Amino acid sequence: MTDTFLELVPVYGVWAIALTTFLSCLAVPVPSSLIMLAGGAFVASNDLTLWSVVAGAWGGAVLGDQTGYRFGAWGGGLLRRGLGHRSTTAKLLTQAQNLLDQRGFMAVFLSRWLFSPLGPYVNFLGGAGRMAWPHFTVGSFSGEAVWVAVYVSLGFAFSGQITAVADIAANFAGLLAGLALTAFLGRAMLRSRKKRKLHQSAKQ
Amino acid sequence: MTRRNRPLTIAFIITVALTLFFAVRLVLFMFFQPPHHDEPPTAIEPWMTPKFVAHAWHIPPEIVADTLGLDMPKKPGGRITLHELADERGVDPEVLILMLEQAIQEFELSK
Repeated sequence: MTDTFLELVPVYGVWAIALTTFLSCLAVPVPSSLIMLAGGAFVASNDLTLWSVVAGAWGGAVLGDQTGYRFGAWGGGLLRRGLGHRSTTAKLLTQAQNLLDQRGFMAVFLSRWLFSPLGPYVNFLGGAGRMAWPHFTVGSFSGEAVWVAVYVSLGFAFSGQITAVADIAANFAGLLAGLALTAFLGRAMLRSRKKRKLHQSAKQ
Repeated sequence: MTRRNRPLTIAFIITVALTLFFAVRLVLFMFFQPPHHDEPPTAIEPWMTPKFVAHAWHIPPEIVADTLGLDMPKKPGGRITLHELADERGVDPEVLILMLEQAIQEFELSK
């Protein structure tokens, strides 16, 4: 499976890289980190040029972000109506969107590379919550630049070891995203507990 | 559980478990499979290009070019994978891989 994906890079070049980063920003499970690492490795071996790999990966990613944001804007209203106001999911969604409203740029920027598994969902949420488009776009452009730079340089430096690097990177990213999600859910739990206590003391 | 927000608690527990899962895997991979930036891959694979083989195994591109009977330009472009090359010649990729493995071994011995 891994080999099939890896073969796409030398065969289709930059287009394979751009398509993969595009799809990964829409939560399609494609190995975008591995593909970017391979891009860097083929730059090191003189099979691809650095500028084309960087442009392809970045271009695909920012287009994917914009598409995800659009999807969110279309689907957001429907989802909200479907969930109603009282469900836990609806409440969590509102809290996540409030967070995006307050720290829009930072949330988008960091979810591109540091907490990258969360990226696609931040795209949908940003669109669904009508997050200011310029903030979203600036966060996306700068964050994706960091993401691409990190993986392409790692691929360049570790060209013979890209699958090992991809394994470590995937678990590292999973760990960081997990920690961020744990913190978010923990905060939501504390809030709902506080609210319940207030409710109870008001009744007494 | 008295009037607790059950779905939220369950989601929280799942996230904590997932986080621990990734933490354990990260440690295991770092420990058993640490990447060294100069080391070649474990094996030559059909997805690799001749230039990639030369680069990753630190052998002169001319040796790879001679072994495969190829013209290898220094500049990017003219990419071909061992898979494609094998198809072109109507042989199994393993044949080319064996030839390259032999060439790498000879080069190592001649050093």
